[in-house]
Amino acid sequence: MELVLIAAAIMISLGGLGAAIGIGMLGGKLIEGSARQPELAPKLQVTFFLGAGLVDAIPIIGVGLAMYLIFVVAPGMA
Amino acid sequence: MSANSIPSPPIHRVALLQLATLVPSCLLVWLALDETAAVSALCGGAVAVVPQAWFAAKLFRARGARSASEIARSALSGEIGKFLLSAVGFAAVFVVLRPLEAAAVFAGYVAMLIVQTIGSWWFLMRRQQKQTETPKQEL
Repeated sequence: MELVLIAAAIMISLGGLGAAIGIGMLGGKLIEGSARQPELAPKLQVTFFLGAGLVDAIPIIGVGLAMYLIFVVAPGMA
Repeated sequence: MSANSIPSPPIHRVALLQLATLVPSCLLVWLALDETAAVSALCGGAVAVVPQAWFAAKLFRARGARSASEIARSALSGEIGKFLLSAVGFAAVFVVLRPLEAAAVFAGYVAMLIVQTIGSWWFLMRRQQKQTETPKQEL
């Protein structure tokens, strides 16, 4: 049962790490692109929105699976 | 162009489209399968829609190149909020909802992600195309 909690912790932490790296890169490119071509800033913001939605989809599904493990598979441990 | 003159993108329409897809889909699931699957899918979909709407509202609060750093800051806080809201939402669903069909929760979540991606692309890119076509027509 402890392994379930460890698995959930790994899921959340690695998922969060991946999302953080992805969103950080996206945000950096957004600022860089806006500085280079200010007239494209609104377009870049929309593209950022689309990209961010895709980047953090998988980590959040991982968080959902981790919550399932914690609260349904091993409810007594939480 | 000042930041205030830049029109806000129709992000609310994406959330409305998600809700307009979620509710009839869950009714169909109710008719095809059972109540448990329908309610689970509805909750899973809601876990996707609410954090995404929060993130969109935070991200598009500031607009324009001069607000780039403010946009990045609000994107960071929006992303943190989205992550936390999703985690709390999933936890609440898995703790409170009984009887529960976990596959339906994740199916509802993934379905709303697909609708969000396609809907965002459709609404936002179409609006950008309109904006780029309008000056050409004026010339």
